Amino acid sequence: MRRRALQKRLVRLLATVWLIVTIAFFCAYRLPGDPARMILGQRATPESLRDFRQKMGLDQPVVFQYVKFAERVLKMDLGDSLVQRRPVASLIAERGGQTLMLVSASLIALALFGMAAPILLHLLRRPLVERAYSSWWIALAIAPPYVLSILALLAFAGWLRWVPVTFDPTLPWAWLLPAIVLAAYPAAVTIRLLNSQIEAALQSPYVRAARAYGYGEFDILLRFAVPNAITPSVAAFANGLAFFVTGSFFVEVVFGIGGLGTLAYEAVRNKDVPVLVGLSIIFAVAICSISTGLQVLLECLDPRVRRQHA
Amino acid sequence: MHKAARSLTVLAVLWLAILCLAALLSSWLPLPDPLAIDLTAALSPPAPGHWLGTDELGRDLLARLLAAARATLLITFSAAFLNVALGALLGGIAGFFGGWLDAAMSFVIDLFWSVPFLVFVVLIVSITGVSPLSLILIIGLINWVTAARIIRAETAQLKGMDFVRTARAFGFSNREVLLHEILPNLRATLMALAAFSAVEVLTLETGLAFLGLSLPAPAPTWGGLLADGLNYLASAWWMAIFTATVVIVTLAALQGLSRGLEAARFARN
Repeated sequence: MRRRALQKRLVRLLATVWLIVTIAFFCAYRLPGDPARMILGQRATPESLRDFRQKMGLDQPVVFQYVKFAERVLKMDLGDSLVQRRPVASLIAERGGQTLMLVSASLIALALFGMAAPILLHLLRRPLVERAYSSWWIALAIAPPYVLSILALLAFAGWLRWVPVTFDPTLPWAWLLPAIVLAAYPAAVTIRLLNSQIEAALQSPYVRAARAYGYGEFDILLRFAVPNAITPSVAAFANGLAFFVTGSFFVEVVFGIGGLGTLAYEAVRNKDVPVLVGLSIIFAVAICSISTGLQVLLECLDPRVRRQHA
Repeated sequence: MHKAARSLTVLAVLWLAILCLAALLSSWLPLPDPLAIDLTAALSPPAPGHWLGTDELGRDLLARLLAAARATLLITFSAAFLNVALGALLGGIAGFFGGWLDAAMSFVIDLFWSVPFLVFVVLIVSITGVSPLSLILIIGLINWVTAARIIRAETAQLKGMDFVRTARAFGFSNREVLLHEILPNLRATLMALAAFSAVEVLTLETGLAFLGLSLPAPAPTWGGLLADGLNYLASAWWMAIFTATVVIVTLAALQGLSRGLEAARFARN
């Protein structure tokens, strides 16, 4: 049974990846505009345009072009950047590390502020503190990542001077601010969900039974309430993954982190279409795979989710 | 509804109304021309005459914020309307007719749900170029899935209710049942969805503008003003602060409105 569910998910993921490649093809080749001119830039000579059309098969039927495009993508050949004159794939490999670093730092911040802290605050039994904590994050999350990062930079680099204005990736604590800014939105979502779920679990018959058995509050929270409360917040995070990942774009641009977001920003500025196509494919596929992975993980962890999909 | 929640919703509506009004009337308000360059007044802090200060070319920030509000709000509301209309149409058809139509539509909805279109928006906009219409169409055509899902579920539920069955028994056509029995009952949901969608669209549009993918330069946009503010963060804090405040308050107001409409919907059902 579980194997079949896994197979179904995998087939779905493959279908989605195929769809992503198709959409990327349509964006690159079939949107209004001359792809040859777009990819070679405005200063291209007529001869180079003709050569390019021939090389890329733009004079061939659409289906043929499509198959060729898909073939190249599958071989991880994403073409060359117009500006840097280098393969897009190697550019992405080179800059990806910084983005990965930012996203991991942000996930740690999310686990600390969005999951561990609200659970620990429950142990304090100070409803006012709890309310204040969750309201604080919910208020932060109203601001989109680009606004929040600008304000954070202004406050901590401009006025308080706690961090330097220019980003230095070798300083570990320089990652702290961008990581927290990026984590703000998912943290607000998880905090709200965790609080309501824990509240519901604490009033459930099984927790009452556990109390009757004489378990301490700490045990009850960690053994009975939290495991039930944690899956919905992970599911919510999986749903909001696209927003989280695109948020990293803006955080990178504002803080000046030289990852994929800045690469995309430069590509937008220079109309570097091959880089944008490559980045879109990579990001879309990454988001889909991670969210499928998270869903499989949830199904393994939580029998309720498993039954829902069976 | 809770009293505090209600007064928050009223505040939200008030802010949106004032903003819309100010944006519409900005050309008649006693403000400098948002495009008038005055290099002698470049980067001057807030003072009488320039209430929110000026930018690097001496243009009045308040006038630019209001001029930007006009374009941004027009795009936001049109795209949100398109989202909800499309979602209602497709979701409504799927939920109402059921059968293979529903299966096919649900398949499309699922596919759209699983592909992160957000990632492609930047690519599409940079290729097609930017005009208000293209932004409205691109954002409007991409973001309809949430609405379609919710409307589909609600229509399917309404379909089985007594008053719909009665209408059918009286021999009303599908079109009449959809327009006169089902649609009025979806009104609260549609309004809540529109407010929710406006939050997403505004976030997206301002983000695109921040990347330079919105109305081209001299025309001001909130995202463009934020990007300018970031460039002059050290020397002219007012550009970033005031623009960020306007964006945040507007997003908060739209969110408050969507919460309020959602609460009203639950109270009714």
